[in-house]
Amino acid sequence: MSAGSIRDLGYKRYAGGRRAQSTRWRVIVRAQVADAWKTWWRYKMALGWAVVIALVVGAMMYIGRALPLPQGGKWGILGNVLDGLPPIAVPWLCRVAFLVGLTVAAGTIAGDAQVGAFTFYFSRPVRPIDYVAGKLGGVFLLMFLIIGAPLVALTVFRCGLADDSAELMRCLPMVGKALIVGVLGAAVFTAVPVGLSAVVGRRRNAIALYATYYLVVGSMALAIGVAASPALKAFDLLIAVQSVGRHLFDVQFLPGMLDAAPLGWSLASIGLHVAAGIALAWWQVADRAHAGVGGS
Amino acid sequence: MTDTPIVRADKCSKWYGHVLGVSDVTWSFGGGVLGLLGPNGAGKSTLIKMMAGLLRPSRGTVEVFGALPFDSPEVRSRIGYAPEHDATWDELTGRELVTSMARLAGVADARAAAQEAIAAVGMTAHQDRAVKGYSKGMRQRTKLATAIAHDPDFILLDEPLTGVDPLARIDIIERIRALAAAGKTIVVSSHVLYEIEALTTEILVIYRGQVLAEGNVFEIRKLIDKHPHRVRVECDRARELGAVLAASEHVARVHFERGAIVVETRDPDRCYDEIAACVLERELVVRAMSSPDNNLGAVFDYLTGARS
Repeated sequence: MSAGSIRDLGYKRYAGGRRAQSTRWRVIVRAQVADAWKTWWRYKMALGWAVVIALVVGAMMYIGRALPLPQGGKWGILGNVLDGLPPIAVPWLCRVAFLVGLTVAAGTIAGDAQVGAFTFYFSRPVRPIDYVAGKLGGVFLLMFLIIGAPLVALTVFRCGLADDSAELMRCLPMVGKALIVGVLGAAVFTAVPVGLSAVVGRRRNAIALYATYYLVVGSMALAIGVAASPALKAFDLLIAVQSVGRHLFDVQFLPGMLDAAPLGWSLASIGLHVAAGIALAWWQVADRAHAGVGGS
Repeated sequence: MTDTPIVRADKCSKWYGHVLGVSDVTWSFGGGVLGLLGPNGAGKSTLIKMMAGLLRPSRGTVEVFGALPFDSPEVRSRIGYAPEHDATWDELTGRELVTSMARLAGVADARAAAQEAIAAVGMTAHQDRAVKGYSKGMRQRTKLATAIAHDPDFILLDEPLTGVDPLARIDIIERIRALAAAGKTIVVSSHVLYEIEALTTEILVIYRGQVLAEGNVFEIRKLIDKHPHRVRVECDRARELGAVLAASEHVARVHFERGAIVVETRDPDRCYDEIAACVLERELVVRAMSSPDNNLGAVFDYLTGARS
């Protein structure tokens, strides 16, 4: 007979390692991405659209290379058609980013406030800065995959279409420019909805607030900009990102196409929106943490 | 209580605007299991949230492990907190929720830690279902798992037994006892007295934001001089026993029930000695002996009744 034994199925102490305090924001980034990835309509569908946009523009580039007139007025672009096509994707990608702003970003802090999740976060060793950085980082990552990744892929594809090494060397900086536009676009389409999300306590209200800001303020800025001063157009988020893209890629359009806002104003608008969004998110979350989460 | 308390509240008060949460609480707790008792709105959750680092006292301090939990993530990493409310990320499965909480607490191998915690609360079979489909008892167990997944030294459970069925209640109580046996310091709040009674004899009674009593429930009972201690003896010659006890100066009142005598005394120890002596001397047949008001319910009623 073997010796008898009684197994302890009760609580066992955790004997593994502990992560440093500085890693908490990455946990929140991961949770944010996982949460967005859970349902098809919140993010996957938008990512699919971004891929479709990239494929369509890529196909246009491929066709444009095969056609005998690479220079000229094809698709309204003056100059090299292949060089001008990647930034054409920017406004479409920004529209998709706006939708992700509605389905993911605008509800990120408001949703936590609504379900009382602050209690769970701040009873753990999580500081307001970890929380805000994690939320912003998670949404930024998602937004960059929508705006930045397709743009970078398109410019890499453009480099692949080069006929010789000289053209390749000329095209390589476009990848960096796509990265810059992608980062700026992702930043502004992250900071604004997340910042507004911190202002209200319910997900639905946060979505409505962001939609109102984006559509109403953007439309007003565009209308006033067209009628009076082109600089004001930069206060439309889409126009601001699009304008940076056009300036960086040095795309010239045929007369009659919508003019870009000045580069300086576009960068200023993006900077202002990003700073305001981050400040709003930080101020609201830190304020709650300072006062104590309380309630239930 | 030990010399180095795990929790120390010093003249701690908390207001929500003009509403008082707790008032001038000075108290310390050295370890073990503590029942935080009080009616709804007494300030239990406020005190627990201050210990968890979720609320900063309006005045005074609450220290845990010698530091202010509100300002110290290091201290909060040693605290496990299960809030009263159920609302959380309901779309996550139980396993995902517990794993996320363990990650937030800094656990490197969060999956393994979550698995242990889920097993410890008996939720392994349901861990892959979404939390939104859980019963109240399953939610309470899952909250308990989120509180213990990072192996905290100090566990705060705010009304962990509210809304659960009797079988689940017994099970959760057993699991809390197992945690205490594993060396955890645990504070459990409840307004249901027998829940606390099943867990511990160490209590902190809070009422209208103020600490009404603290310590061992039986010791507190002894301190309540206003209410004599009742001893009920079921025996064959109750009146004979009553005649003997009625002559004692510590006995305030004697009355009889069917086949039993109830003695109200201001000196329970002496009373028990005299009962024992009488039973032996007169060869009485004792069927049962109890102390009907030597329990938490009576203590709580006495304490809060005296203030209301």
